[in-house]
Amino acid sequence: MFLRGAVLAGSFGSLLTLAAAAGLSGRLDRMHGAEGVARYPVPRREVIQAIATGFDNLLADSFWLQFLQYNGEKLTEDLATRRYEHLWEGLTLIIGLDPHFRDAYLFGSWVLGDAGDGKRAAELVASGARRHPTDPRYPFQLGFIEFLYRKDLPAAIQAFQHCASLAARRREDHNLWLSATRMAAGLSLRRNQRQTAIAIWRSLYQKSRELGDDRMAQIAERALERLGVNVMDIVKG
Amino acid sequence: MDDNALVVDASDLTKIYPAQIGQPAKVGLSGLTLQVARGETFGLLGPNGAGKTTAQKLFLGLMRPTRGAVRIFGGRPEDPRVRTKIGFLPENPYFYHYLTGAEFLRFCGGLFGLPAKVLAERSANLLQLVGMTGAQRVQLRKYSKGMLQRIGIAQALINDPDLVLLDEPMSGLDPVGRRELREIILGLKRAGKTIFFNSHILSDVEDVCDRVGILLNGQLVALGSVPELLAGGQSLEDFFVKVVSAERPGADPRRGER
Amino acid sequence: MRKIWDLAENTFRETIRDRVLNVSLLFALAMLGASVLLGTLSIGQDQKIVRDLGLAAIEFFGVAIAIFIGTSLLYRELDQRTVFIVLAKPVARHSFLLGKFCGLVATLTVLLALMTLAYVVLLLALRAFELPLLWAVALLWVELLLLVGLSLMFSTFASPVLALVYTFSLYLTGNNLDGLKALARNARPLVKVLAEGAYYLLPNLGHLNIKNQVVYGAPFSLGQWGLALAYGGCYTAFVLLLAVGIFARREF
Repeated sequence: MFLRGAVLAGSFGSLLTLAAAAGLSGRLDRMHGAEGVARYPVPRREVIQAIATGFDNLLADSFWLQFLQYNGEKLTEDLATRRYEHLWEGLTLIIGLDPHFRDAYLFGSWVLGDAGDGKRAAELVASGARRHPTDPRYPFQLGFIEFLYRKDLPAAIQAFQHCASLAARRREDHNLWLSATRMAAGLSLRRNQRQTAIAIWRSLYQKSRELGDDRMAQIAERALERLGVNVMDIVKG
Repeated sequence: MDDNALVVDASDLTKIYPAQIGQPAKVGLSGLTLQVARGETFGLLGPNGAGKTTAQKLFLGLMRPTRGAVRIFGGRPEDPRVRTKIGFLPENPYFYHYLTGAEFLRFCGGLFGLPAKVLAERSANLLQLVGMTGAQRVQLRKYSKGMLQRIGIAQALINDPDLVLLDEPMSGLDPVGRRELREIILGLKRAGKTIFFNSHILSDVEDVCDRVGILLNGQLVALGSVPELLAGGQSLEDFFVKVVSAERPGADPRRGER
Repeated sequence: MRKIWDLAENTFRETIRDRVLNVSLLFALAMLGASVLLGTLSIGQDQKIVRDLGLAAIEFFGVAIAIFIGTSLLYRELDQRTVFIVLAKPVARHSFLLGKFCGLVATLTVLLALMTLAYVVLLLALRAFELPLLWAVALLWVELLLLVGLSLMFSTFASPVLALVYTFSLYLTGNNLDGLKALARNARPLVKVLAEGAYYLLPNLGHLNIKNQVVYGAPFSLGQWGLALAYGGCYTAFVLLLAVGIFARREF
């Protein structure tokens, strides 16, 4: 009898304490919420690097996931109320730990640009491009940053052209090649530089002929026609 | 006495445990001079902490003497070749609990480099000798204290040793076990083995030992054959109590030596 | 040789039946599974994250087991007085120590193989497998040998807890030696000599860690890999010699 009572009291007590704990936890959550936005703390890069113990990539991954969790959400928020924190510190921490973290450069530059810091967005992508000089994705992104956030058309055109020259080398980058060429040519037109646009399309056309890429050549041909250039003239020289 | 017949030859064997933080230096064994001849059964008696285990560890090279030396079969105990002829049962043995009795014996025999066939045969015989054949496939973690003592004796004999060192072999055994062990020791004696064992229980040594020594605070205070020591018609126990209670540090340790 | 083999086999049996091992293996596999979930959170870099996290999990559990079991291995023999049984037999001190070493290494090899198998299967399923990852695992194996050697060496004279602290500290320092080299560059002459000396004397585990490079399938030279392998082997041999030297003088 006594034993049963003890078991009963114990079960009841454990349920009660568990419920109390859950209630307190919820209350603590609300208190955090009341203090305002959740913080995105960024530790000092030197400290983290000094204690990384060879797990640099793992730490970069975890800081990246944290970055996304905090700042990725903001991208979907209302423009007027959007407030970013420590973007530059967070991103340089991640690429300091893992200099090959592609998305930290590419996606990170979008977020920086979106936060109104086009200068640093360009700086970030450019540093990625320096570390990966043969990867066309970096100049491609740089072109967009220059164009959209810094409104620097000559720099954007230069970046897209650089991208196109890199992308032309590898078959799997052909779509990138095409897109970069289109952007370069389109932006040149926007600057009233019809001749530049024609030159860009013409070089794409010639190169795709050389490579035997009919689809690319066709796209270039049509673009040139729209600009009033007959492909046959090019072929003739 | 022919030197070649000496199995244990200790001279001035001394072990002083160095001082440690909060502990002064401690004398483990002090100037033990002792010879044990081939085929002899020797019992080293003394209360706990008298230095009996220290002596056996020095005989096995598990410790190095602070002063003096010991020769076993004329060689140094640090030499592994010397130890091929020794069997040793430590006090309160507690073996690899994840092994079965048979696995444990195979492991021990392997350390002597015994060929598999000899090992299998000898294991079977020894298991039978110590009455553990039924438990050979049971893991040692399930063994009782007495069973561990029995398997410990079996492992001490796995190499068919010429010298058997037994440290408190009777502890943990029930009266039946004690009588069986006594039989085993007598059997070894008949086979011409040299046996050296430590005990603080006098009745253990009385009827099997050719000679006994009494160790007190690291010093050998009496040495001789059982009849010699008991010349006055007293029991060994009386003698022992007399020696221990007298605690005469100046006693001649070589008293009664042949 | 046969004695070392027998002792190794016994140690292997002892450690492979250790419950800690099963629990760790379970955790490692759970962590590999979790890496897939985390990867999906990462918008486009999921393959990289699964590769990183998997290698990190393998290293973490391998190192933890090497150090934890390695530092308690000798203590168990002393505590349970089995060392008396073994060393009273014609077993040289160095054979005993090398047997313990080889036995634990065998256990770790099995553990590492199981974790790597799970990792490779997972990556193949995700089409994220790169061959150089296995090279990183091979160097990790060498790192584990070195850590087992260090654990044994420290436990020849220190208590298990202290040996654990020493070995783990060396693991941390050994992986962060770049800082020491940087210190040496900008320091006053005396400090410079000390820092540089420490840099070359301490085990540079950074040499055995290529996991940050291989996840990108980045080209790295086979020569560098071979040198790293040789470095780990030499240092392990050095530590084992040291351990044997201390253990041979020890009394029981």
